[in-house]
Amino acid sequence: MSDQQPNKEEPKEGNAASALVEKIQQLGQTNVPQLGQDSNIHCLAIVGQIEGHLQLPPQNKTTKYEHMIPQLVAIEQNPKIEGVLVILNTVGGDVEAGLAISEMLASLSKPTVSIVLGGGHSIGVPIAVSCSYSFIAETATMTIHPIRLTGLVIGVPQTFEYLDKMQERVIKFVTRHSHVEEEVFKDLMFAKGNLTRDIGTNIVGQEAVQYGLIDEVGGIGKALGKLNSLIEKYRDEKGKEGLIQ
Amino acid sequence: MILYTMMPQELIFPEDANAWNKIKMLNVKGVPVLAEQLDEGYRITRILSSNPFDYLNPELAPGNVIRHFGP
Repeated sequence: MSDQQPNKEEPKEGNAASALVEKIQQLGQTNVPQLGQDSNIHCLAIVGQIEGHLQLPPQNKTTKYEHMIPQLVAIEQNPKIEGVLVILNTVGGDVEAGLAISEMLASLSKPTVSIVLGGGHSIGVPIAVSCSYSFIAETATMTIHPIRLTGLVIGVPQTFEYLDKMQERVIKFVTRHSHVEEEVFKDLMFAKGNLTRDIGTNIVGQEAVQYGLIDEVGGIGKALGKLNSLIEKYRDEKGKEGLIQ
Repeated sequence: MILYTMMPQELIFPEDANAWNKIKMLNVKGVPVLAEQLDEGYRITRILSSNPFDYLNPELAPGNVIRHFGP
């Protein structure tokens, strides 16, 4: 990336000089902050709770899907953006909103790399696996557990069936987008004795890689390196397509 | 006071509506930010942009008070 930076900025220099003169003429000063810097990698931080149909009180730190989805559309549309880095540190949240973000990331034509730092729990799991390549920090954890509402008692069998279907969607998505076997994932989801007062499993760093859920253990350096190599590959493929046409 | 309940906190202690209205989404020079309304101007609380360079702009640093904004 650093090698390409000077090439990109070269054509701008001519414009920068005239813009400087314009600024002096218009504002009488030159030190107007430089805006409109472009990065070919955009970064999405998924932090706190994933907020869906219900708006959470302001003291909650949330990631809103109505913010994320237009950003992903803009990333797909903007030809200057070549890759996306997704940084996860989430406790989970709304299933539908989480799956919506996951599907958007999975269907993005540009290379995507996710990295789980701290925690990628619950609905954070499908988001982490939705990217082209996934990383997990050595100390990061992921909690896999069945879908549920609050502690309220389910009134009618239909509600249970609805939840069961929803769970099936999550399992299908995760197994389709990662190397984890459906049986293994279900075993982790329904394991007893791992979590206090709940069923499920809390897996840490290396374990997530062993189960095939995440591709590699690593941090930001590795993740950016991988994203840059995926971008290179993507460029080559695009270049070849161009030649055929 | 300790309340032993499975009810969500916000159901027992409802938030006052003012807390909602104070936080606004603004567009500061093309960058979407969440800002808290002050008596005069807005204090930036969070940057919503996906461009990592926007986070390096000192003007948009969280805690900064902005009085004029626009594209």
